[in-house]
Amino acid sequence: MGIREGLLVLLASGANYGYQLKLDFEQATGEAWPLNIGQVYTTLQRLERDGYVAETTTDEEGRVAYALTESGTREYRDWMTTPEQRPVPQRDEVAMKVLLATVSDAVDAVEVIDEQRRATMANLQEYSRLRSGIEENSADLALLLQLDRLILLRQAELRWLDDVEERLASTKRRPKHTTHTATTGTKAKEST
Amino acid sequence: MKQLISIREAKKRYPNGTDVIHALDGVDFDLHEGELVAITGRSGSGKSTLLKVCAGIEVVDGGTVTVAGTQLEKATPATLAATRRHHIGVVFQQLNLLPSLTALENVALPLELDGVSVSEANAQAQIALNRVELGDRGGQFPDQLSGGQRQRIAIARGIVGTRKILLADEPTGALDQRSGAQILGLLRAQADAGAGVVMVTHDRALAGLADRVVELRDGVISSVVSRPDVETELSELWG
Repeated sequence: MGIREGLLVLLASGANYGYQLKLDFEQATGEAWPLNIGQVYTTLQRLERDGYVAETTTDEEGRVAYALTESGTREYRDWMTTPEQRPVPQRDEVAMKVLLATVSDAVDAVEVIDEQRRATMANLQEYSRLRSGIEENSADLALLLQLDRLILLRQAELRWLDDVEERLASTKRRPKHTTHTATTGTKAKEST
Repeated sequence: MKQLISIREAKKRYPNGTDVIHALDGVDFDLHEGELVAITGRSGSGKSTLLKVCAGIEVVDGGTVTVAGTQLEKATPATLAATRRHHIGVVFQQLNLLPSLTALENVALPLELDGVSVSEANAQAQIALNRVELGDRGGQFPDQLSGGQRQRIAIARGIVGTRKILLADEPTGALDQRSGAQILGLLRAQADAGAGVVMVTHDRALAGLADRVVELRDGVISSVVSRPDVETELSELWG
């Protein structure tokens, strides 16, 4: 998604000014995507050039309101109704580290999982604190939905880490921690 | 924040044939007002034993357990019972609501057993039912309520009157995801209102919603994760 699609969807609710579109965009994305006003005006000009929006009224302060054209309406509907495809497989940093740890003889995978679990847990605690602070405020619906999503993602990660640990335990493939690092350290010490 | 529970070097052993199981092997644990603490770990890690020790249901073989100012292992049976009645509410996965009593009567029961008049107990029970958002269901019997509602009644019974310690053993275990989330929200709300809440769960993902997550492994605390002190800025959230 680009700013372009976001503005088209917002304009589908009615004609609007550039600055208000910036504020609406940020609220609608749960404040996940701050815009500068220059980006908004540049995008509106491009949309106008392509025939998707048109200037309507200008108020006494000289602010121009933009509205969707027919082809702009078709464009936003096409975008909204086309599901997004994700690149598969995703290279997630946590997953890569854990997977490497499970095949390496030099590291204790359970230790790696424990450390990651603590970090993910602290992350989850922080998201849930933020979420409990905004629960009653329906104006923050987009932010609340974003936090719900992040909470579910972290919960999924914790469950996956548990599954990895279970599987390692059941297949008895917990590799022994070897002393490569210690040996190197000792040598370094001796040479000084 | 006032300390509600203080456990030091708690040891609890169970005989297992000719062997001995160390369910708790030197555990320190604290609970303060306003805290939601999760205890997690695999089955057999000692987590339920720790909860029972907090509740005064199990007495430790070594170490000290102080609940609401009373040292439980030194207390007489009468003092122990009084501490439990006055200060501790317990919610189990398998509900123990009495089927022949209404929701209100179930919630009022611990107060009545404590000698509070029926009218005062009912008034307190109504307040507790309001806190779990079931103020209008007091006249219904447990079998007329959903699983999530019954669990909320059990929480109301746990917090009725002056009780400040709420102990919950797998409180969302038997519930669907949505009811489970509601129960967690309620436990959070009780902590925010000043209670100290301890929740045992095998599910680390749920445990992560607590202020502090205590993990037990073979009767020993293997890790404690506390919520970071500094609040995350929204701009940091989205990377």
